[in-house]
Amino acid sequence: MFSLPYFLIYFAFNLFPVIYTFFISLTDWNGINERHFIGLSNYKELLANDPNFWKAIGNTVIMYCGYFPLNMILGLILAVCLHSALTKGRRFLQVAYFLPYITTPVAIGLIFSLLFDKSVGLINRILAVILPSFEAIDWLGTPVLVKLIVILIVFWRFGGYYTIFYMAGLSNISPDIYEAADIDGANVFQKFFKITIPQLKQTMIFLFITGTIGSLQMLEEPMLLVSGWSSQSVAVGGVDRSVLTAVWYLYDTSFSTTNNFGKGSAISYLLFLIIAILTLVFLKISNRKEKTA
Amino acid sequence: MKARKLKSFLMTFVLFLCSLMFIFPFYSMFMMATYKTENLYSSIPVYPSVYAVQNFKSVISGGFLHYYWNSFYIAALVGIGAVFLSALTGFALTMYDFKLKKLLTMIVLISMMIPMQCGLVAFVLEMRVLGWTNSHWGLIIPYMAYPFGVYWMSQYLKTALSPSLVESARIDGCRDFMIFIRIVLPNIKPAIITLLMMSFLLSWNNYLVPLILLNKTSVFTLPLGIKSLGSAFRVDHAARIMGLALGTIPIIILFSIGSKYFIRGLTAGAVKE
Repeated sequence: MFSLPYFLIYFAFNLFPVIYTFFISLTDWNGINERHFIGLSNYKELLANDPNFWKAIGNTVIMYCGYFPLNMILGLILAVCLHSALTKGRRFLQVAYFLPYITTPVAIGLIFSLLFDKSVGLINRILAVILPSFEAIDWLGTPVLVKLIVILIVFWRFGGYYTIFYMAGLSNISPDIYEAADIDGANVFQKFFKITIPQLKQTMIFLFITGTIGSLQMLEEPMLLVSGWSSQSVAVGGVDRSVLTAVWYLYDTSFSTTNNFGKGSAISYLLFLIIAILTLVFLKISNRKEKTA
Repeated sequence: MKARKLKSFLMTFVLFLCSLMFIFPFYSMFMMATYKTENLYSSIPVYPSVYAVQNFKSVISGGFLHYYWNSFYIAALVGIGAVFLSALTGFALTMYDFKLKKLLTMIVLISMMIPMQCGLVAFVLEMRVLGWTNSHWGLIIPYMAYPFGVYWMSQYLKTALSPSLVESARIDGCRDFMIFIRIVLPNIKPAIITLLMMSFLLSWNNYLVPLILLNKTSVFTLPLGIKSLGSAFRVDHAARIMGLALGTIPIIILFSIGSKYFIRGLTAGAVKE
């Protein structure tokens, strides 16, 4: 059968690890010692006694609340403007907005650590020129600020991504609807809120799901950001673990600081569980809305 | 008419200003890459300096080309393999009727939802058992199975390929695999280009798995190479920035050329008619 090669590879390297990881998550394996079956202890431990796990999830949620609404709203505004017939040079602008998304995340983390470094960072140097009595800000060494910068990075990186999806959605709206609204004398805002937004519902659901899943998988941006430009010492999760993310914690637990495969596997399954629940809940809610509307 | 022109100009201008926000970090990086380390921090780099070639040479002599090559051939093989397998599987799932068809289609759909990190631990252990650590096999073979690719190819084939065409070729005595090569593949060129770009990019930007699997610099891919710039050029910051800049250029060029195809592929999943 023609589909055989694909499914063979898929089962061997994708499905099998996913299932096997679940079994590992029920053990206390560290790769060297003998494995012991310990049931759900890893999960209990993570949920009840592990401040780092909650910190990682909390960080993700806080940062998500920072950039996601920004991306959703500004992405829509940018897309509507770009879509407008008034705009010239659409192709150039589209590519410009989209560049950060395709750039290697590792490079992005480093570019921003170059910008925000305390002693040699460009931002501090520009501020020093503008403000005479300026004292260098330790952007990456202050928990609140470093979170803000990660928010900025993610917003910057995905701005074009959201814009492009909105534009694809916009180009699917039939111009007839707008013409009809024009005849009825609707103004710009009425058209925007009564036609554009409802018509983009499908797109918004998609962006919500991919945006949320993507946030929970965040790793490179904070990791490379705090690995620092002038220093090479990497504190796991940045200062005070303020930008530790779930995947970073998973990596650190299983392959870096410790080799606790059991616990690492449990982290990845909890992460998966959160993603699955969020997706299902959101799909449910959006379906119900559709029925009542 | 005049008001419309003014509006148009204003709108374009504001959008252009926004685009500067997206470009600024790249711009400052490219500018700094042309400075000499001693002068790097003495002024704000608005315009390029003259030290680009020397920085370029130091980066190249640091073995950077090697990372390029590694990343390139891995991503190219992944791209070609993923496109081929996706098209083949998509072909099978749309043009044939067989017992497991429903189940297999379901598996493809569900697998798009499962994040790769979910099986990470066992995946790495599997690679260790196979002896694929510090080798590129683990970055190539598994990534050839690209669930989104199969989904996308199936969708595309449903509209692009009529069953009667396949049927008539079969009546003419064409073997099924030859139908795939001679008739299906030439008919889906746009889909192939899009998918090639997407899977190439995915492999090129992959960081976590190479980070775990590879620990010898000779097998490093570009993201690992970029990361290791810090230890390679501890003092020569300008060369480090040049390396960073070089690491981002190929994708920028590739994307600028093929943005139309890429965007179409990316948004295809979201907009269902």
